[in-house]
Amino acid sequence: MTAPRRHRDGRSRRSQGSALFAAGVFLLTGGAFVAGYRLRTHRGQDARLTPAAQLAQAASPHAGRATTVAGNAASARTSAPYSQDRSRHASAAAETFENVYNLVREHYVDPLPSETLMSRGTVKGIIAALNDPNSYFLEPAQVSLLQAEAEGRFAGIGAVTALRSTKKDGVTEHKIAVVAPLPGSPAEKAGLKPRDIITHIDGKWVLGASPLLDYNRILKKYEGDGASEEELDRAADSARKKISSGIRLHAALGLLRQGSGTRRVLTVERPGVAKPLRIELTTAVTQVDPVVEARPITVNHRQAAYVKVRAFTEGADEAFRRALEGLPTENGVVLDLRGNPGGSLKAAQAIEAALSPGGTFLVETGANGKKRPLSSPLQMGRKLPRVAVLVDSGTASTAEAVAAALQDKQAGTLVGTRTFGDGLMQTLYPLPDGSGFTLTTGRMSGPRGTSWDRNGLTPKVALKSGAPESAVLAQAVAALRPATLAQSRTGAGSGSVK
Amino acid sequence: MRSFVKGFVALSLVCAGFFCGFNADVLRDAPHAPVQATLYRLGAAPPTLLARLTRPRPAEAAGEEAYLDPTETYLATLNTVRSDFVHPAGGTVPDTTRLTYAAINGMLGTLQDRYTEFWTPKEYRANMEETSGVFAGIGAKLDSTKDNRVLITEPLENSPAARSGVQPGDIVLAVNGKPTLGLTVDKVIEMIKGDAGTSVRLTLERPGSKKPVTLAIKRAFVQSPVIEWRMEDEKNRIGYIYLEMFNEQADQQFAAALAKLEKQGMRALIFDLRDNPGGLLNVCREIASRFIPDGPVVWVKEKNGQMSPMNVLKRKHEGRLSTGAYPVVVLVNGSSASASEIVSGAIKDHGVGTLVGTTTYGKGLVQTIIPLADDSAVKITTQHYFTPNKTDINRKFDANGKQIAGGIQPDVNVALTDADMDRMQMARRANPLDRKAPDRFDPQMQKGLEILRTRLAAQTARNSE
Repeated sequence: MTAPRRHRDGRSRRSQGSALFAAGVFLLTGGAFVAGYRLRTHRGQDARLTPAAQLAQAASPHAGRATTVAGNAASARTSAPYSQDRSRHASAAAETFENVYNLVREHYVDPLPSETLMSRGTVKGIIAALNDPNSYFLEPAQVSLLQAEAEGRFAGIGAVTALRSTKKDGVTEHKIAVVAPLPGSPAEKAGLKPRDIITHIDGKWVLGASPLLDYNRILKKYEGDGASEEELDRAADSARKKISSGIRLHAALGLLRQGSGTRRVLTVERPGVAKPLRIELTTAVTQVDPVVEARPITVNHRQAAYVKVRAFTEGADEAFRRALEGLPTENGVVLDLRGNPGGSLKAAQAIEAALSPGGTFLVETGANGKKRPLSSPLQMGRKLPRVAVLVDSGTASTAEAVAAALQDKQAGTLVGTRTFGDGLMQTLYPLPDGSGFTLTTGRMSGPRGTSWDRNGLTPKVALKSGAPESAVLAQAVAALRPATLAQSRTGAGSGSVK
Repeated sequence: MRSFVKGFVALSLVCAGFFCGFNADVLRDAPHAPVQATLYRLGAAPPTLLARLTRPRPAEAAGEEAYLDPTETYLATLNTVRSDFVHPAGGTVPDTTRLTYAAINGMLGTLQDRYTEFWTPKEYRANMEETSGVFAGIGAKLDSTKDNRVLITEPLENSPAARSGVQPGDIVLAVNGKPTLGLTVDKVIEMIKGDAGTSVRLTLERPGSKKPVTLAIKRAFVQSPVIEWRMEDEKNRIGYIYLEMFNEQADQQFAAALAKLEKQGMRALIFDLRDNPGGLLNVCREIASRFIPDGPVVWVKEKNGQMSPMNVLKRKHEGRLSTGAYPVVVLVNGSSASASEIVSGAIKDHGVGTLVGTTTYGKGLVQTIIPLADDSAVKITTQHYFTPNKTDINRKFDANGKQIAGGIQPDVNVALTDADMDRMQMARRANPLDRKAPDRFDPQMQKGLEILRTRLAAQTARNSE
């Protein structure tokens, strides 16, 4: 009685044993996976830590009034890829900050502002020291405005603007330039044009440089007997006016992109127009649909697909793909990027890839001159259309990137007028309290190194601005080119040009 | 054998698990790492780089606003800037130290207290030099004549300039052979200044001497004078002491001037605190103690709300001033601030002098300077102060930024107009060596003299009765 049972027991114990063994192996494997993953991630994070982040680790144990640097410097020195001096320098700096903060908390006589407000002040201080007009701090409301813009809702005058900088007598002056008024916006209705410079808002001077700039110049002349006392007095008067009724650059940018139902008077300098223009408008929220037009066009019995993309808002790539699906693309696609001020890099990348998959889309030159290529993802089973890209002076930023990529890859021909010329990348860094800051983080260029910052792209098929629309479309269709050798080797290219 | 195979399989599985885990992020990240969301003109979905460097507030209540920690925000921002920022014009990115100082200034800016500020090592050194009142040089006061030449108005007592024979009225023609023609006084002072122990050669035009005089003067540390004094009214024996600021030399220099004036038979004193921006708290307590017999000079309120008096220092009762032996007028104006207001407020509240001029600046705050490890320093407002009658003199503003309170009201209001100042300036330039020349056009000084003369006359009348 007992033996078989024992036997059975033994068998069952053995099978129990293998189950336990399997479970153990399973657990161990899982554990190892987790361990490996964590180790890698942790290492990855460490590797990503720049000296400043190492500072965070080095500095954190030094709360309070620590004045010794040796310990910090030593720990930073062993790990920092920077020189010893630099690490010591940097960690001393971090300690100075923490010491000042703690001293103020301990000794300041009146109630302190909230830690969040003090943190925002800290960020403002750092960003302002960069002396780059495109890098700035954003209050939570301003971050929301930017996010709404990314989704296609533009408040204020409804035009995308960019800062143009000129250097005169060693002083840099920044001006607000209109990139493109958005379709249906107050700016478009009031007749703002790309490259217009906004010099005054509601009669108040936009201060893109020190208001004493002219005064100092005349003072120098005056000291060298090159200017009269009256001239100097006039310059002093105008400087006083600018100081008393000027708006700072970022406040001005804020006024332009916020509000709805507010009357604004803009004073505008237009290239080629001698007298400043006075433009009145009422701000409104402009909803921008990325793809404003998608239809087949027929020019001289040739049929092609025509798609006009007005902005690379979030989801512009999806809208573009959908629009393309219903159109006859066999004879080519006319991509109209006129008045497209750019937008999301992701959307631009996807739209470019839909027309010319594979290869490089863009080269980003970041900090320390590091070049980083972004590729056009390959898409299987798609026929490649021939492409003509319509551009004008309102084509900017990532819209220029798409045009440059298609041109550099010889996948498309540019038709139109010279583009705006904005090749800077800006990144928004949101902070957990809803505020944030932007930084200039790189410069864009095409896959073959074509750069368009400041000078823009000059189309191969140049058109006069103001040419009739039918002529523009005819030129675009005529410029549709077959896929290049490189592409036909992938087997996707076809067709020929008459 | 079977257990060996089993062990081998198990080990392989474990290793594979580890390997997969280790490389999981590589698989996840694909060949082209997710494009960092980039903001162009339109904005974009943002990276959350900073999120991991901020921590939730301990016991964060639901619905409470997300919170930032200044030190962590500083480090995260610095980190981001140093790794990601590209200067668009190809300019240089400020180094960590400069960014840190900018961060500190930004943080302190949120306090909206202009007196709480950060000093870079250079600024700290300059401030220390100013408050110590000692500098390296030859020790001479310079001014410009009406034809824009640079004039020595006074070689300081026991200074290298005085020892080398520099005389008041000498005109500086050249410094180390370099002509001073067309240069400003400040420029010439800069040329004369230098390290202690080094020499400077001055070419001087001396009234009454046909040939220019050339002197080689060895620079040394000199006490910068913060006092000007004279017997303003010889006939009535009214003395005058002007104090520029309350630095470490101020009390000692004030005491010396006072002793000399008393020795000359002074019967009344004008103490000029106009345009005096203040200085050290302990020094102003010492000087105020010389005027006041007893009681508090000032009340100080700490961060915790506790009020405590700073009483008169009896050891400063030298001479006859604190006994009320002669009348005192204190000249004040809108630029008399801080320590000047403590002294004038104490004199007013204790009734030991008459204030003449205009309402003072209104700064009722005390700062403490704390040096830091990297030779920088931070100056923090640590106390509020009140006059002996516990009056708060700190300026207050209404919602529109208009000042509604603050400062000390003088007993006798007398303004100084631009026209008065022009006339004083003209008189000074016409007679740079006559210190009393501008005073005839100074209505505040004249009012002070008038008050004191009346008092002295009344006193004389009383005595002769």
